[in-house]
Amino acid sequence: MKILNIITKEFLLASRSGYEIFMPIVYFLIIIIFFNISTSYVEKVIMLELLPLMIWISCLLICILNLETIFKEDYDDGTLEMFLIKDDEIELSILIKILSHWLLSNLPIVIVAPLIAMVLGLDTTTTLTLFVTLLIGTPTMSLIGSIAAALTISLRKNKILVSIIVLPLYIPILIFGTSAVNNSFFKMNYSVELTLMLFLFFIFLLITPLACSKALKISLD
Amino acid sequence: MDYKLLTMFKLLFEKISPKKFYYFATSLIPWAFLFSVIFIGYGLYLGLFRAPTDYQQGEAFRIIYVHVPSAWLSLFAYTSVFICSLISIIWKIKVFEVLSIASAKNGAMFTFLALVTGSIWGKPMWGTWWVWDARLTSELILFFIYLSIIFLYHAYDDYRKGAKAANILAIVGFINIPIIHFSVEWWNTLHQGPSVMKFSSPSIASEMLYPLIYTAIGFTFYFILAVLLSARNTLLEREKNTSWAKSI
Repeated sequence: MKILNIITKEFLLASRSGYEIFMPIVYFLIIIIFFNISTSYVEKVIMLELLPLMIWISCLLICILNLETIFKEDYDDGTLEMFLIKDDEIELSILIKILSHWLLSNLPIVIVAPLIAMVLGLDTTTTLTLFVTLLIGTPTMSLIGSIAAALTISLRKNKILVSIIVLPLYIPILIFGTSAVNNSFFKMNYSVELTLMLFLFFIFLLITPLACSKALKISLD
Repeated sequence: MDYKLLTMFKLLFEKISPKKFYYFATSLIPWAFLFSVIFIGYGLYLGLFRAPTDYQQGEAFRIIYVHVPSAWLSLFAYTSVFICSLISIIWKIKVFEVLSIASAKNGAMFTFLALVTGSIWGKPMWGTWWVWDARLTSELILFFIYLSIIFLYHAYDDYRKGAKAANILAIVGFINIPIIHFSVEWWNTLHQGPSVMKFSSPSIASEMLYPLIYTAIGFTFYFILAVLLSARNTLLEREKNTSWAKSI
């Protein structure tokens, strides 16, 4: 019940605030243009090899950019405080908040990115791998990022700090994700990477609610 | 059983006030200073003047007497940050908040030192200052984790809040470091294999190994000294309005 309540609330907010859901997609497309312009001096064959990796990095950057929106609105209007005082299942609510954030701001990218890759000439299997790795990788990134967002929520200038906190922790995901995509591009086995990414996802599924509720309590102290 | 253990710890930690810690640190600092000077001095003397020249790397290998101890301390310091963070999160003790931040700062310094000495060593060995090898990269990432802990601490105006936030980040980072290390090992490395940590038979000559152990012990004492000094100063500044601090 509560799960549905929070998700409906977030979706309602998103639908009323207009075009927010399209912004990450547009941003992603612009980044792809930039990448293509800056690497257009490289040979065509290498360009195709770089493409899935470039898309992976752009998705990662977008996931970092919209991290602070996870708790920001609720923090600004005081809902978060009420919620921490009253709620007896804070961990569950935090997980639902992260889930709805992921659905609203990362899932569009996960769907659009492989399509763009396909349009730019990537083969089908690699596109599929790209989709699967992003599907496992981006929720993990949202989980890790929510800890950083919770830690820095009461700070005024937190934008760069969130990135600095989060980027070193994203490195395993980046390594496994890009390695899987690259292996798939060269027709090699990539099941190990996928398993490890799932493993990472479950680890952070366990850690995040605890760390996040503790961090929120400290920031709102 | 668990409850008894917890109350025991609680009784133990309740005794730690900034005042008591100040006197404890003051009594410990001369000893840490003495031991660090003795061990580093003796180790460096043996290492720089007595140890035989390496037949492959020439005299350049002698930088390991700084490089390996700093690399060891960069990990040791993180363990210390983690333990202090855990204690300060669970029992909310001011002294351990200060200690965790002091260890983080010194750990960042040692990580930087390890990176720089490694790079200086790498120039004659590999011909470049930097290679994207597993151990170098994970050391660099460790450096950035240290930096993010320090930045987070300083971003808060209220130092206790900052320390608590930094402590949570340190704990999350501690869980992450093995994962990062493992994932970075994924790449093939051109670094030479670890030469000290093979417990059965070290692949390094004993004349070269003993100075290394001495400098490592000396660096550890120096780390303790630096953390105690820095924590003591921070505490004194924070508590400058209390009666015990004024009486000093």
